[in-house]
Amino acid sequence: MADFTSEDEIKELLKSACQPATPSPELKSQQLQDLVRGVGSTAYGVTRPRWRQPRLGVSIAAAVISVVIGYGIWLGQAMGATLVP
Amino acid sequence: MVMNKAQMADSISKDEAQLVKDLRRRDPMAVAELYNTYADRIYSLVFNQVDRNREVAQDIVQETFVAALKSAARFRGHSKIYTWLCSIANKKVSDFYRHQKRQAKYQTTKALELDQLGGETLAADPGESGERQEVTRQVLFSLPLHYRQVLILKYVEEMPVLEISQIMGRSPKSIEGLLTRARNELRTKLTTRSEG
Repeated sequence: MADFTSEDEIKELLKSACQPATPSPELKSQQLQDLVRGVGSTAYGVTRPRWRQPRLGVSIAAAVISVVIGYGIWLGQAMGATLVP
Repeated sequence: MVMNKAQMADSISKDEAQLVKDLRRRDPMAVAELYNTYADRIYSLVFNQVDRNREVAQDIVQETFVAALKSAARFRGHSKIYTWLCSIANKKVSDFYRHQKRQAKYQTTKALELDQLGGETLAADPGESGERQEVTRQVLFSLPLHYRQVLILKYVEEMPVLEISQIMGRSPKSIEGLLTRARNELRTKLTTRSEG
């Protein structure tokens, strides 16, 4: 063997040692079927940020509305109390 | 994030952008296009990183495409689709060795597995060049995984340093350093083998 000093020689060595390989057509067909099936189900669903997930969004909206209503009631009572002579 | 000129040149084409859009919509035709376009290249890349073990390579290719489909919504098109897939595949190979802790086992049983699997790889040429291929392969597989990955991406896949840096999640400068160390290690081991 040579002294492996040149880039070209390393490239040639590695290219001959790592020749391209292909999976069998049966395997490819099976894998593709699995992927398409997975995409048809919810398995590979789009990942949304947590705050955009429907359940969490509804809970947050309900909490905000409750706070606003509660504040309104409290404000009404407080204002009423100050108006009493 | 602002891309520099080199990154712009290396970013996604119009066709690829459309493919990514379709993937986000979970279009089965887009999935088929993605798989049919890139499966062979990703398989070959992985196969050469996992000591030419067909079964492991098949599993990792499957995991790579599943992960790509799951994360298509987060792919921002700052690299080519192939670069993105290579980066996922590289991580899956690293995960395989880290989590399963099989590196030592696969290195020591490699010869046996190759005999058993036979099959689809191109057989080594008989004679001197076949012997040289086998020695190179053994030396390559004896290197640490990140050395092996960077050498395969640079010399077998013939990727530029910038693209390798995107795949390996390091700076181009760091990749150049890694390449130098990997080349030196490869040279040293090859020289030792050829002298011995």
